[in-house]
Amino acid sequence: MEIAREHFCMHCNQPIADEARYCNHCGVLQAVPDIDDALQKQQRLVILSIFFGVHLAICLVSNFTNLTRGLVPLLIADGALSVFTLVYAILFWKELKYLFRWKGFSIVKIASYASTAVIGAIAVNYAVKWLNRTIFDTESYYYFAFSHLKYAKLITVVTVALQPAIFEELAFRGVMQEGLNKITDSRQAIFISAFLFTLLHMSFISFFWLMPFALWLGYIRLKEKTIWYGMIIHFCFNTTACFLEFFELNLF
Amino acid sequence: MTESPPLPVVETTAVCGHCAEKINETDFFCQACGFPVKGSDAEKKIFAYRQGFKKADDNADLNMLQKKIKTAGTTLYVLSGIFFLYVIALFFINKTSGNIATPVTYIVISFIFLLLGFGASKKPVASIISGLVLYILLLAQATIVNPASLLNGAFFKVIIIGYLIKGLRSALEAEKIKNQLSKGWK
Repeated sequence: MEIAREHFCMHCNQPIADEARYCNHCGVLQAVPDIDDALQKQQRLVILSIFFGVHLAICLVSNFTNLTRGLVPLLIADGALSVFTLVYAILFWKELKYLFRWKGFSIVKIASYASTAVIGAIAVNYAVKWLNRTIFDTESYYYFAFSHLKYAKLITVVTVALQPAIFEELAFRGVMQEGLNKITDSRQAIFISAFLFTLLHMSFISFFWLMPFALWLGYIRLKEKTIWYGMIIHFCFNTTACFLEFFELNLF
Repeated sequence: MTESPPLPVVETTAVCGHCAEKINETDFFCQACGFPVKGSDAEKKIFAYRQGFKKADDNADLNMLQKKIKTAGTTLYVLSGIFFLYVIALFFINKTSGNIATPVTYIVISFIFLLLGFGASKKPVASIISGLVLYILLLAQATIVNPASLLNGAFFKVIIIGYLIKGLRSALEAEKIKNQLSKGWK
């Protein structure tokens, strides 16, 4: 077993340490897997570009064309993105596995993160309502997409809060951020994945609150080394937005 | 008590005279930087001389890459300027329409490009990727709404994307060189 692990100098054939850049016997520089490394980074960049490109294409089509009007096409688009994200997560399962562990499990942390998310959602909701009324002269409700259905409220919460909380976190804090970690340093990885996450929402006015929100999620994911807090925060944030809508529409 | 207790065994305190990494007593050369730890003075001098050349090479590479990164940063500023001018033009052309959603959106876009331009000098990879994706998104959106618009100023669009991609590749390369210079080991 020992021999199998040993490395030998490419010049003098003496055994050398695995991590040695230079042979300690003859001083010759050992082949550094630099080119491999650059190629891997480039491949990774292409793989992530395809990942984001598909997300972008589906979001652009559903936002700027009539193809996904109506409930069924909308659900198909959401479902397709979820399946696509899952495929990527399975392909990179070895790298992502550690994110699904929850070592520092803490009720206190969950409670504080969740309450911060709820307070943030309330503040953002009122700011956005005001902005939409004054600048865009429109008001939009998620609920009206489902209001004709039997369990409209439940369906709203599932499609607006639960599905994005699971799959957007998996896509951006999971696949994207972890992939970018391999290309650049972890801080830039947080920034890029947050920026891409923000862009996918297709609303430039949301930039000012979505970007900080996404940066926060990315930071928590880096600090806690788990994806669960992010999913909980995301779920609480979106659920709060749903319930504020229900209250406003007097559905209780 | 005539004898003091034996001192705990210290692994090895010897370090490389060039890069200060730990070395073993049996080493003739440092495993991290190749410095001839047991070599003659002349050998050590030759090593230092070669290192000087290598450093100069790396610095020349870095300078060239920095130039490309700077061009990408300037491209981001130019994009910011273009969107800002577009907003001003909108105000002059149709003052009466009263729809402020479009100008507000373009001001936000201009502002984002401006921030990314600022960021390009400090965090080039993040800024340039973000700028590139934002630009491609805007082109894709315009193309979906009006497919013919893709060909408007196609020449300039290709140049802008080209500068950004070159900047991004340079930024990744520069990061690698900087990492190697700072660590040297592994």
